[in-house]
Amino acid sequence: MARFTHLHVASAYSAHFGTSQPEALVAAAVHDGAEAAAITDRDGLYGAIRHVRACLSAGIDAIVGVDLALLPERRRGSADVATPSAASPARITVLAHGQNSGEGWAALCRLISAAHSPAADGMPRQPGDVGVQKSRPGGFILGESGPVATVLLGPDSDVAQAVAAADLSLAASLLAEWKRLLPGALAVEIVCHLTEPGDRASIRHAARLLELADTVGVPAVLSNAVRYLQPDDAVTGDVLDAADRLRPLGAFQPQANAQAWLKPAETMRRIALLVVDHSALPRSAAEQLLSATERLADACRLDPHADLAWRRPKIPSPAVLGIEGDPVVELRRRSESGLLERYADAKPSELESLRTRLDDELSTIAGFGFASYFLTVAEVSSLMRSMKVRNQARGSGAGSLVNYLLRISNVDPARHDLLFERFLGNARSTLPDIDIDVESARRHDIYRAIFDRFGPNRVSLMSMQNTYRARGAARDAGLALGLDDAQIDLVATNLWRFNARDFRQVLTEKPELREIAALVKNDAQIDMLVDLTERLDRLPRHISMHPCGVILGNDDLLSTTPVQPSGMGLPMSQYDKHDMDDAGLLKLDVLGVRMQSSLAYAVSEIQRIHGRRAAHAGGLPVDARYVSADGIIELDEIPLDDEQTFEAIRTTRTLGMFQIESPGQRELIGKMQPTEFEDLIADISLFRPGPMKGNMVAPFLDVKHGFAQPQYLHPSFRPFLESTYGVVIYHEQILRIFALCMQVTLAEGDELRRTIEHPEARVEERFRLDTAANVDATGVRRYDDAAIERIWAVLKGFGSFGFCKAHGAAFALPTFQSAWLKTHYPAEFVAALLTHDPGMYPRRLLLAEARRMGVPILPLDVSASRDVYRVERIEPPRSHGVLADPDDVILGIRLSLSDVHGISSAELDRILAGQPYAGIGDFYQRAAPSRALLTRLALVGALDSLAAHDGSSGGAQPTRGDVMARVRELVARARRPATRNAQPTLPIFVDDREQLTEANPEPSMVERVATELDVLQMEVSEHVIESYRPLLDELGVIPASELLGCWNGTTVLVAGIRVATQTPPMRSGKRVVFISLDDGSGCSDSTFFEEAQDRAGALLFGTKLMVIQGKTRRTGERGISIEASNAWDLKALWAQWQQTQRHQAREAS
Amino acid sequence: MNIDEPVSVELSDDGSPVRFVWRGVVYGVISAPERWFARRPWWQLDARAPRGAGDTLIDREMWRVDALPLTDGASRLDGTFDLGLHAATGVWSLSRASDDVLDAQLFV
Repeated sequence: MARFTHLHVASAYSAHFGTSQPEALVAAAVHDGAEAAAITDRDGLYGAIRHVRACLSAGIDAIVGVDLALLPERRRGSADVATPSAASPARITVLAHGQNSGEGWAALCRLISAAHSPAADGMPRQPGDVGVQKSRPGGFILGESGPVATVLLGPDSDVAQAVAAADLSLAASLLAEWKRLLPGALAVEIVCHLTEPGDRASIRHAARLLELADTVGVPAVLSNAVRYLQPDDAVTGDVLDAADRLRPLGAFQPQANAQAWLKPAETMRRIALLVVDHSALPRSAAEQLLSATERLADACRLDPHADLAWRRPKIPSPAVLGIEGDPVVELRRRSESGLLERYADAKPSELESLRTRLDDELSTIAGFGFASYFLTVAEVSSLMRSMKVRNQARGSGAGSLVNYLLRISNVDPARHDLLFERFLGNARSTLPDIDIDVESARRHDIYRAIFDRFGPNRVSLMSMQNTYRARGAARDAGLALGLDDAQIDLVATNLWRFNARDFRQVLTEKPELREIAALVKNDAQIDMLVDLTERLDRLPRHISMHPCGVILGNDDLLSTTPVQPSGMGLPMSQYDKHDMDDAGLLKLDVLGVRMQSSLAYAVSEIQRIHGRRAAHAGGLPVDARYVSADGIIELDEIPLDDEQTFEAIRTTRTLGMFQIESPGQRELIGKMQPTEFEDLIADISLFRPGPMKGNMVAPFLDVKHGFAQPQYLHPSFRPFLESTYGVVIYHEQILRIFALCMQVTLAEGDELRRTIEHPEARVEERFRLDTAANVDATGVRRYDDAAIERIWAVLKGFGSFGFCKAHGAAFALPTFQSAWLKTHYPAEFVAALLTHDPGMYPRRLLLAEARRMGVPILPLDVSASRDVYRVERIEPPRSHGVLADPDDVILGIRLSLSDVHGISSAELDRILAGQPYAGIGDFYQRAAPSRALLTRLALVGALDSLAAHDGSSGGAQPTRGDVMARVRELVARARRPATRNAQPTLPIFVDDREQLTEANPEPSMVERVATELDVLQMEVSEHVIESYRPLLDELGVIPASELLGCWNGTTVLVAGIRVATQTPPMRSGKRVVFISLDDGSGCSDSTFFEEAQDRAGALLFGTKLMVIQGKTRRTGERGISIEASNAWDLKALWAQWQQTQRHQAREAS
Repeated sequence: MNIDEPVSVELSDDGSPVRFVWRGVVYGVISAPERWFARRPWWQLDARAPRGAGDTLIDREMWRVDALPLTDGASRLDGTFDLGLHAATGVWSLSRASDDVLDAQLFV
């Protein structure tokens, strides 16, 4: 049977259009005997790298192209010249030719980038504006030695649209114009979807187009303009069309039928005959059509190695870094000088072993040719330091001494026994990942600086594909079915982290979906919704900027990947992270971490408020070398053994401490009671699914707390298992075990670790043989059979869920730094947390924590509040003529204006520029807030200080009610006073204290709290739960702070506002839901097991204010949680209770 | 003109219509029948659309033929006809017919 190559195939990476994954399409092509398979996604190469990968592994050739919209030509001095029948825009397909040293690929990339080139303001184009004008492709694809790509004019081309409109003479002249623009680089694409005779892609339409190609003298090829793998997928296509148009099915013209599937070669051959039979051409034209198709396919077969430099690293050349000569020499030079800086105090013997290690690392790096790569990363890291942006390498990169010496990482790998081999072994051929955490608030500045430093032709952001998950899928499926918003909301808001693919199955399993399951039984449309939601699962929806990936390439980056503007304006690649290694691109993860911003902000507040007294204010030794003379703390140099900090961590009041503040972590910290930095590394490494399931926690804790003796598996393991009390936690330990037992290098040990689960690697067999053959000088075996059994059992279990210690150590550093700041500078640190909001909890909880630590919260004040949370000194009451002792000064936190609901950035700027204000009228005039904002500010007391008098004239201070009365009066005026006018028309406005009416009532506490929640999304005056106090007292609800005093197993009721919901990994594998409630006194953590989940039903994920009943469960010396048995909606209880109260009141009267 | 009335159809070896009987009149096909696929509004007609079971949800096989009446009958028509096959039941219907005088004959 003759082959047929489909040249026009959309994969699921044609968002809201294609339905099938590239891998599935390739597999089907292979099954049908194809020798090559094409991918031509809409608007880009989003799926191209995957496609090439799939073709390579299937042993067929890849063909890559793009399907682009044809934009109207813009002609100078005249309106746009529209293409015929502008109902739907015309589209063309461009296929890259292969085996031309990448010229075809480069042309394709650059043409696509041009199709996305930014709008005038540098921002992404509107979806309808992505595309090219007819005159554009020629400039890209007509190479000096002939065309490097072919343009296909298919059923959606301007030519075919004219044919469908029965305007054959227009069609002929359009085709002739194409021929003139693209000599030798053009083909007419014949598509027959067996639509209604005469329509687009009908037999007749295809036949006329074929005749036209013959007349004008343009080659014709056959395709099926494939949109899906099988006819079944066409239903999914309908739903995607609805999502794309944002209109329900039936409200727009749907696809004509379900014929656009990947038809077998034999079927395509019959279609060729069918079309030719309906044309005026002889039957031989069918064979010509098919052979022309295969000729074009052959020209387009890519050679991944020659055309794409497949998997070959493409990084900036040393010249870009300003390096002349050998980068290896330069890397050695810089590492050597780093050695002297970083280890200035090291003993000669230590220095000796460090040098040996450095030599090893450098020779591995040089062997792979990665020296430039390390220098590039070091350049980025130094760029950040020069911008004074905090940064910290994360991941296995922290295991490299070179990274430490180049200041890419700040964790000492020698001290923590981190291994380079885990980062970069012998077998690696793709670029290793180095990830850098930076201050989130400066992330975009850093991106721009990297573009400036390396040049926009060598840098691009990475993109990511957002795929359908359950909620989004249900929403779009609901839209397609025309369900009303309320119904869609009802379903969508209850979907909680599961694969849309499993929707129907999950319906029967999860208690919170009970209502929806009932709905499905009774409502046919909801029943259908479930099917459609499952269909959308995991399909790409849209592309967006990856949260941290920056691609650094060589001079040809823009010939390697197409780029398009990201939401922030900088160009992003159309490839995602899974494409990087194959495309040979260096991706640097520059991850914005809010905690890093918080740390930087806390340090700057400490310096601002204390200056030279900073060390003293934090209770540090006055000669601490990590505090500069003017009060700048070098956080990366603080002592990692600060006992006060560990004491604070052990209280489990870890709110705001990086990584250890979640309820589950609080429980683990309570049990572990860490005493040193190594414990923090272990804690972070243990708090993950594998170790929790593997019960690695219990033996660790038992030994740490002296309940058990450490079991070292083998005495020879003691040196590297001691720090984890005999428990194997880290990859690094596994490497050492392999190295010791099998007498292999650490790099080989890492290779064994990586392949431990691949049967073909025969790791177990090799381990047993080599370890048994390991004998000492006298020929005695070092490891007997029992030891081998024991060790293998551990290795086998750990391969999958051990943790990279370098990763844990890099994480533990900010954990410790945040804990240290919270311990020594609580006000400054909480102000930083409030400003940069790094944690998992709402701000309200941070306010409560500040109050608990004795840090007053200062109200919002338009004269004193800034756009950040600032620390303010609160002077103690001055006794007569005596200056206050600076140590008596209390630090408070002033609320920020930036969190006022509805404030615009322009208003915020004006308020800050005009501070301070003399009165309410002055504020209204100069800061020019909107009337609504003025009212909101007054409601939360931000204007109180403008109304207050100094008390010298005696009399009571004005009430909030007085302020409101004045504001209402101002707001009621038809015109606000002019702001521009230099001469105030009404000078009386400036200080208007006299104009306040008096004796308006103060709002009640309940009113205040309600207003604060409204305007600030947090309550300042008192906790929201206090409004329900009478009911809570009657029920006997216990405050969270008193839980620790309860006996184990006491039945209690707790109430509060939900601050966290988690479904963490559990040993049993069953789902457990953790809910944390805050009631102002602290946080209670309740655990819902299956039965309780069943009782709580929809309350589990949907309700904010809750009452929970359960039994207390001690989890450690300072840990207690509640095993929930039931839960209620506090608001519903309150409504019932009030009704009862009223009823009783009526009875009584 | 939409008609949507059941008809009995006689097929050739390759599965294309040769003759059909509509309202008691036998029509003979006089053109090369042209096969095409119309689509169904499955979201109105079907209760479920699970993945993998959608092969017949959208497409409806149609044959467009020119035909002449071969026998006498109440309403006789020569023109273009779309004969549709219901995939699940194998039942044929006359989906549409177009003829200049059709309106006058049938619906005035």
